[in-house]
Amino acid sequence: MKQLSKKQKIIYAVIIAIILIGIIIYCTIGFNLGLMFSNNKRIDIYIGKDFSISDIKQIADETLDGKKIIQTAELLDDYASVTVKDASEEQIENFKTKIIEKYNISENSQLVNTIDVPSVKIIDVMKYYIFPVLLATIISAVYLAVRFRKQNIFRVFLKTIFMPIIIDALYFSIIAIFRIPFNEFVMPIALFIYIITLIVCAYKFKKDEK
Amino acid sequence: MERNLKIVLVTLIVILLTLISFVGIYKKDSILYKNIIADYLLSSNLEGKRVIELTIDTSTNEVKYDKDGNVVEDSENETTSTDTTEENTDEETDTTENTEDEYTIVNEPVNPEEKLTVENYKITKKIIETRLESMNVDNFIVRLNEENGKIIVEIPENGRTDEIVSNLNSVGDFEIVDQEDNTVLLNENDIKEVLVGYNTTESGTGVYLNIQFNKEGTSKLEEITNKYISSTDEEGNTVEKNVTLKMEGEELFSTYFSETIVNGQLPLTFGSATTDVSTIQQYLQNASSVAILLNSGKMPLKYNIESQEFVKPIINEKILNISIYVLIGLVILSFIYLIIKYKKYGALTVIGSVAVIDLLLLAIRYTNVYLSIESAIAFIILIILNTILLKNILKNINKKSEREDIYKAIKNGLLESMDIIIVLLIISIVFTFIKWAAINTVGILMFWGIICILISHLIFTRTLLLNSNK
Repeated sequence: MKQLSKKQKIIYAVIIAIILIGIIIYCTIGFNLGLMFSNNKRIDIYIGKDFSISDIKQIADETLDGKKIIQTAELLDDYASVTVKDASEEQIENFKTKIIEKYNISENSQLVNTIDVPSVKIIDVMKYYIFPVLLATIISAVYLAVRFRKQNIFRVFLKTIFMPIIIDALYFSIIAIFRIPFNEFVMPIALFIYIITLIVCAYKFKKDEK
Repeated sequence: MERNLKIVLVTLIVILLTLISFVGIYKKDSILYKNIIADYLLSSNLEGKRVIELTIDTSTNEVKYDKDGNVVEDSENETTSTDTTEENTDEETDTTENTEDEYTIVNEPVNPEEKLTVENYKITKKIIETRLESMNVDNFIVRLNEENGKIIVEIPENGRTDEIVSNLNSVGDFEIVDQEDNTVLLNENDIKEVLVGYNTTESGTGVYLNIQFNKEGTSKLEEITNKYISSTDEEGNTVEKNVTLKMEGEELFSTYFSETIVNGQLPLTFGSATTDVSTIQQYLQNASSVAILLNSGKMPLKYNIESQEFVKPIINEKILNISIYVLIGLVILSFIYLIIKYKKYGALTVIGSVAVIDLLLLAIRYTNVYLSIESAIAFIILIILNTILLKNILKNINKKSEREDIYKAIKNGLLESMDIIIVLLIISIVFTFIKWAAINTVGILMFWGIICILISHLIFTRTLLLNSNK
């Protein structure tokens, strides 16, 4: 078996340490969910005429705390939807008053609708990726193991299986440790890292063959 | 001279492809010119989604009990919406006695307090997810508030959304009861599987639901079909012993059985046989909805649709434009790299690469690929693959290379890249067969991208390179 150099040992030790810390953090406090994935409050306000997202954002910044996501809603784009982590009744009332003043809307009970949106479970986001990624990895590992059988069929097979797992585990651990918000871009990036890792594996085996 | 002509011809073909791909082909349609090239399709995370809020039904049903404590079936059971914070804060049920008729009316909550558990909330969430998967919804999020049981469902907004929403909060209960005393003979727990079928006869096509009962259900069905029959009494009168089929608490129909069913399969006809296609499709859709509800299991709790709203995506036009510019930037960077490193030959491969982009953009539009956030991954992977392939080809070509050397360089470059291409093809084919939109998009895009790369470089780039040397 090839001896690892001191540098390689340090790198592997650091990777394992990061992954372990990441697992501990995930098991204890979980990921830092981004606004759209965490518990949030969605404030839907009916404006009924053309409006600018930047104007709504400005009013929301004045009246509501924290990060906000502003979207238009309904097919005629006559609703504005503001998503915040939390907002008090007073803040929502303040927000509503400023919108009424800005757009000259008449007050009515249907004007504002507030919905408490529960968080998404991370496993619900990830579970649809697990089977296809595993299946593609196993088939790719079988192909590479047969193709590069001269380099030890089991070594090639296991390396192809474990490399994407380790690299993606490292990625998720970094997200957990540095409390990077887990949002809608996290899984696409994980998928990208997974595919790149398999490409690198194929490239390395080819290079070692020469 | 001939070689130069070939280079010019290939370049012109690529320019034509670029014009078709980016500008389109316009044809006069009455008074306006219309682009006949298909448009791009955007997935829900780029076009918007329907957000449905489901809350636990807090209403009550008026149930009549006789003096023996048996439920008295009225023509209607009244359902009243009661605000549980107003009256009866201390008691769940409201009781009035009518001594004249000697029965008791009790207001029973649709969802009893003891059923409002986290476990039941989770079971309901799971059932909703199963229904969405069965209805081939390719991208959804279901959120559960474990404190109050509220469920938020986010699904793509398209032509099927209304149909999907109508199936979300149905409880999915099914009963076969004795018509006389309402004894439950079979229910949804006895069902193994429900399939939709149709058969064509002379009078038209009939749609039916084939309910396959499990082992216990099969033996119960056999007993029922033996007992609930039409017979003649001693006086010669026909006596029918009927069962009633109920779904969602509503009676579908009553019938007796003309023969004993031993195989546990109960076919239920939807409507009558018809030759009208739209009617058949409607029957099929209705039957499929029922099948999905019964196959997904009965919800332990009844939910109401509190609100539903179409919400535009977070990825707005600004972010989308930035993403497109970044992708274009990466493409240009790869082209600059090839031109700087491989000079004339690099420039020729850039022409072939432009053809790749043109073919891929056309393929996307004609193969129903829904573009999403994840599409960017596929594009970046294809840029990387294209650059690696061309690098492997060009590293063996120089000014002194003869036609034969260039041919070998192309062949060896392709063989050297074949392992990466095969791994990416494996990933793309596996992903293509997955229903989940995020994975499926990446798979289909990568698959067509690899095909376009191979076709383009084998036809255009190869011709350009082979004819590039004197």
